[in-house]
Amino acid sequence: MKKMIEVTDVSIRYMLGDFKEIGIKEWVMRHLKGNYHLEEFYANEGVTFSIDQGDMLGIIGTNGAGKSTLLKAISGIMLPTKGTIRVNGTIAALLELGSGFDGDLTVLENTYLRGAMLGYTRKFMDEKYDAIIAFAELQDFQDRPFKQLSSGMQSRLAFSIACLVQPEILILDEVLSVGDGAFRKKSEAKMCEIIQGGATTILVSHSLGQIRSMCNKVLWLHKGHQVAFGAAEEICDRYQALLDQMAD
Amino acid sequence: MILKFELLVKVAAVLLVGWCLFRVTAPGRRKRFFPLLLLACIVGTLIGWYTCSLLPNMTEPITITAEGTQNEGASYHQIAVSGFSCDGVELPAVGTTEGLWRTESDGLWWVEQGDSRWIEGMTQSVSFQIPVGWERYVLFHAGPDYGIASVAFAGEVYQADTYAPEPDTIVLRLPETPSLVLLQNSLLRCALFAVLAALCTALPYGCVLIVTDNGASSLQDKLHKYRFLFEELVHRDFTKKYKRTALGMAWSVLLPLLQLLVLYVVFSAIFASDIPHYVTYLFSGQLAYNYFVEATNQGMSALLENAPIFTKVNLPKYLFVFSKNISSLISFLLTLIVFFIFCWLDQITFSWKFILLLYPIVCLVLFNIGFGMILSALNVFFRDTQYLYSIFTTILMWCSAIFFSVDQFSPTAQKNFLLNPVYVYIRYFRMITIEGTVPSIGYHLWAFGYAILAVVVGFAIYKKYNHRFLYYV
Repeated sequence: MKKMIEVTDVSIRYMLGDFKEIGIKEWVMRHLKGNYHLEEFYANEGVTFSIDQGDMLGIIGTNGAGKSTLLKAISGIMLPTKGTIRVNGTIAALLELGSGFDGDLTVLENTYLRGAMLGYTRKFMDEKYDAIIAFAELQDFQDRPFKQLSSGMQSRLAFSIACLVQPEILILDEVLSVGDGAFRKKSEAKMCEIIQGGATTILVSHSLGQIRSMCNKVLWLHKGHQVAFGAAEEICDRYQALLDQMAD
Repeated sequence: MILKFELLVKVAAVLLVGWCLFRVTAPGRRKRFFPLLLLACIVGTLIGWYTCSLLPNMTEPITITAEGTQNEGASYHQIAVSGFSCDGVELPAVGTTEGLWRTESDGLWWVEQGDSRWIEGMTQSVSFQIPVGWERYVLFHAGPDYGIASVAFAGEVYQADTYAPEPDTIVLRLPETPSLVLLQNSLLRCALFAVLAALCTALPYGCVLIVTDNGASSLQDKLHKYRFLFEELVHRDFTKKYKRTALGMAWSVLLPLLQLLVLYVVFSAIFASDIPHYVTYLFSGQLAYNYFVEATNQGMSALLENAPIFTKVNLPKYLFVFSKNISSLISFLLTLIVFFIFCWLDQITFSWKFILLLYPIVCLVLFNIGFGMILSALNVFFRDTQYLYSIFTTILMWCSAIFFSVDQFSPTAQKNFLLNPVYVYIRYFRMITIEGTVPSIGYHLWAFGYAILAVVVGFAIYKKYNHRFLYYV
């Protein structure tokens, strides 16, 4: 079984403090006065796991657990401070559905722009454009400026463009929870189609039901540390137990 | 021997460029593209060779002074410099003439007027610049009326007695240039040839690679992969820039014209008498300066504006700066057309030399891209870069000699102006259009040096901080 992603003892550190949103004069003055403070914040520490081809990994954890940061590191947007990440295959990362859209451009122009960011070619976009608009049910809104759409419509369009990807590795960061009930069913079905098509997937979700039904492996993170990694059923049960305990 | 050395270096340069491009082509397509690569190399070599041959070599100053004395047999003491011969090439006598020197059809003549007396206070010397070389001669007309001249060259003074019983030509042999200087001249020529050949080969071949459909994975594949994204980014920037404006793209031409009008009306009263073709002088300065300021300002905000995108999507960040530069380039090209119209109105003679204007334009494009990348990175790290930059551009405007002339300053000060890269490109434009002279090889390399430095530093910063930008946004 080919290992698609190997994460070994990865720690990712954010620097907080005086360097952000600072001007040149401030920077120099603070250095001169000895007033320059930096804090380290480890979003992830010591995370180790690996997934094979065809696996579907679910990442669960409370807010601030470091899930999104880990995904950013895997998709190449960030570099891990310690440890290594090895990826074998093309990645399509959907970390935020709405990234790349510009309010002033029309729906048509935005579709092409987002498609370009996902790595499609112009020929591909020309062929699939009508299918995209049909899936998102936005046939009548093609020439409207994007900011005139409601947030639900915007998310539908974003998802519709994104679900045409056919990469070897697919990363989804809480993107399956958009839209109304009917659209949610449609999008879940479409994602299952993609995953059954052979893509290795990483899914972040707060809905344990989704994770249980779709994933075969689960990674549980808590405040940046790895709590557990293994078969889905067992870890989901433990997590559910913990949530019930906290609710009491 | 130096010529052989030059030839070897040039051939080596072309082979190196060809090999690099070969490596960049996808392995599967190398066989198919080889004839095209060969053609591109030949074209690049020819263009580089031809352009290099047009450019003047390094020169040395020579001063010829009429002594006002004559040989016993001579009846008068006039001097006539007919020309020079440098390594077999005949050059006319064209020098800075003042005082009693006169330009005639067959050379430069020094003839006193009135009584045959030395006239105090009038210049008896004339200076020339002759190219470096081995066999060089000064040619004088000789005859029964001609006197003695002294030739000051390379720290030595030689006497030339131009008397001859019958009209004749006297030849004075000049010492050959030291080998070190000749080598330096050769190296400069080779360097410029390499630069031109590389540009003329790589640019068209690179475009072909990017435009055609991709093959196996390589640099070509990567460039092709991001072509669609790049086109969409350019489209987006363009649309946003001119959205809801009444005149749209016409603004990019109208604004510089209005500025030109105001500057001309204000400053022509003061400066126009000193500076010939003042409209062209002004416009050339404004053209390059405005392009630089606009492209770098747009580039500076490129990275910060697109922060929501690059924190969530993995794509090469330099594409943002590139796409902003394209829209500035297009407005520059439109203004350039208007510039040529104004040149024609200002009675500038158009010559083949105008083709050389492509060189500063390409250099300026590269410089803007590089500088834009540096500024965009700085703007992410220090948010007040944009305010500091507006101060910088104001100072730059005063240092670019847009509406005044540098002639009133000392030669050292004039050299210091060349430290300003925008002035270097402005002066290139003015040399070709107004003065009709081709700048020296050293000047070409200096201009290119700035451009390549900016690009290299810009890419180095992006490479080093590629993964750190997102911590700052």
